[in-house]
Amino acid sequence: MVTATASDPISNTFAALADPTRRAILARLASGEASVTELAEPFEMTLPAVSKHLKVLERAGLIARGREAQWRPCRLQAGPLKDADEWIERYRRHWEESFDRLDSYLQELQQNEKKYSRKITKKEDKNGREN
Amino acid sequence: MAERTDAPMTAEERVLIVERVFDAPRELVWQGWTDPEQVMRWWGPKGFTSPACEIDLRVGGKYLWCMRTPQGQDFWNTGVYREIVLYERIVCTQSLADEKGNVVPGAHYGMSGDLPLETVVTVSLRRSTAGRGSFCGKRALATCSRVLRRAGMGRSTSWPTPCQQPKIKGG
Repeated sequence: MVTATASDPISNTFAALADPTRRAILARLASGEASVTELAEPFEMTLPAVSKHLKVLERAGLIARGREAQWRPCRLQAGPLKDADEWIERYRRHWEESFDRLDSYLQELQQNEKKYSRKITKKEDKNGREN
Repeated sequence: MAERTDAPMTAEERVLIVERVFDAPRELVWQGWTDPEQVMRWWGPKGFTSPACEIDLRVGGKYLWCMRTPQGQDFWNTGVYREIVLYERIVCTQSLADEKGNVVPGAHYGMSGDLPLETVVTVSLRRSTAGRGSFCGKRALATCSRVLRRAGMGRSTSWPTPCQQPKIKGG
């Protein structure tokens, strides 16, 4: 279901982040650049396997690699992460704030209902807010 | 931290979950979601209004919701109901739309072009046991999930659930 295309950078970002090894690599790079060998150390993986992960991260723009032939240090590129974060935040805020409003509306609704039904006498109903 | 699995994401993991406890019976929350007049009272973030709402609440039926920014720009959403379980569950698709209900890409609204054309929204309402004993009413816990069909997302980055406590503002 995950189809990442070049025209859709955020899908690329999420697809790249969808793997725990790649997330661990990014976490490592957050504390500074590292070589492929260094990155491979914590994992029981072959260098080609790690290189494959690095290619995915590089394609997603999440890392950049140095030009030096032997020691090609990998560096974290935070830009796409920021974009993905903003994208998530937009959804989160939308729903949280809509829920706030739904909450207010439901309170208002119930208070109006109470006004019309005097049978209910709740002695501890302190939430008599106005807006 | 150093997990070594290389398993692809499952569908369940590509989900964002927003949970909220409402101090209201579940039936009331349901009406808030399904009655156009009531949806217009809350749809949209802070400062927004909702000037129009149409709902054809049956499987295969469509909806068209509008929200207006404080600056007066209208955003329309449409989708098709896939599953409806009274007072419990609504599953529908959701897309951006124009005012006639035609699906449009984010670019239509000047959004950066990375929005999925369609997501699946699941609204689950269940009775909450949060804060039991301190409140006589039946709380409803609304859970809203968006399945991001084209975007993978790890569990570690799924929605926080900051509103587990009963919300009694000014209480």
